[in-house]
Amino acid sequence: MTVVTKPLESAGPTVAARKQGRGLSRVFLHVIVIGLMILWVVPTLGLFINSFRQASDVARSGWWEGLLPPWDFTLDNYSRV
Amino acid sequence: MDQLVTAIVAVVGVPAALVGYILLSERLIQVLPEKRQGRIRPWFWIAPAVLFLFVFLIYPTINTIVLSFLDAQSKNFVGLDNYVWFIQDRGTIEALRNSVLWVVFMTAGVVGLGLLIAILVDRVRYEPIAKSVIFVPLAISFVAAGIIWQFMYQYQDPSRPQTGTLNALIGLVGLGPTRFTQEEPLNNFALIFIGIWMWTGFAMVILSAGLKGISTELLEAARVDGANEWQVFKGIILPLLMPTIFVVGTTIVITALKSFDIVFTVTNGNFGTDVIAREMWQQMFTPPGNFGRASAVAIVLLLAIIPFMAINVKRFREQEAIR
Repeated sequence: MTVVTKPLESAGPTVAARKQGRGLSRVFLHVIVIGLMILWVVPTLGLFINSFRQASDVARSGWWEGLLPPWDFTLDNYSRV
Repeated sequence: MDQLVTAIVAVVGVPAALVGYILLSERLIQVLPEKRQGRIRPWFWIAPAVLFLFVFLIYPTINTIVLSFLDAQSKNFVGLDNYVWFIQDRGTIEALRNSVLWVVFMTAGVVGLGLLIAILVDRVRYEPIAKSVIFVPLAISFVAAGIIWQFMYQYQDPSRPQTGTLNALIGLVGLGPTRFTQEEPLNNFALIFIGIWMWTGFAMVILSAGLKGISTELLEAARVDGANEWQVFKGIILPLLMPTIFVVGTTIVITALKSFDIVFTVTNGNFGTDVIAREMWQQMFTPPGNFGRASAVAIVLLLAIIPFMAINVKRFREQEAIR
């Protein structure tokens, strides 16, 4: 009989504990999900930011440098379109 | 003004013609003896659909098959010459190899990542936001995706600052800049990843819906019995999701076989990245244009897709039978 009761006893608290989240694995989960979100959004974000920069800037430096001061955003590309 | 007239004709005329057709055919049917009427009516109703199917699907397919046995100008019969060219040409064999790579890696990547993301976001509170972010690329056109990823893969001479996101990133850890779209075989996988980036959202949404359909009681019961998360996944979630995974998988296989736009915009098939669909375009539209060869490539592509379509249809029939 002990064989039957043993897993029950040990399983009881773990289910509750899982619901609350075992600290480390929850952190791990969030890191993966947010990491994937960043991976998926960065390519589009790059195009979006480059669309507000001068053509010469786009050719000279990466889109992330447009985020650093001095800001030199422009709507030229849009007005031309 | 002309456009307005056309629009009105389309909006009013097409439904009117359809209703007129139904009324007229009903008149004709009334002439027949009562017993026959029920038998013959469905044929009248299905006739327009069959007609459209024939004009826009069956006739072009047969025509393409015929063209594939004719020469470049579709004048003389050349037998199997176009197919012989297909299996002997190095370019087409390379395209065929790359299409196989697309099918294997894009399908595995999309289904695997889609399933992983569907299961992971199910456990976080910001699930809708996470899913939207992953889904967005599907709404972007293939051509725009090609441009977006050119900013990612861009290469500059090592003496200049890197403007491509990936080259800047690997530069941070001290690796030299890489020509992602030019170096074989890396470039093929770089292109395939664009496809994965676009289509993972599709797989995720459908698999996530399937996941929500699995009763939580079942999962809780397994956990109470002491199963760990991996066992729950392998023993319950995976078998119950299998039909969904199958449908998503075949859809992606067909998408991968048809892939054209990404290759066309990023490398135009250079540096050993050509695929079947782009090869077909090449034969058709680059002067002087060879209708026979283009048609032969199209038929090969069609033959490659048919088994997957057949499997999909068979699965649907089986599911209908269960219901």
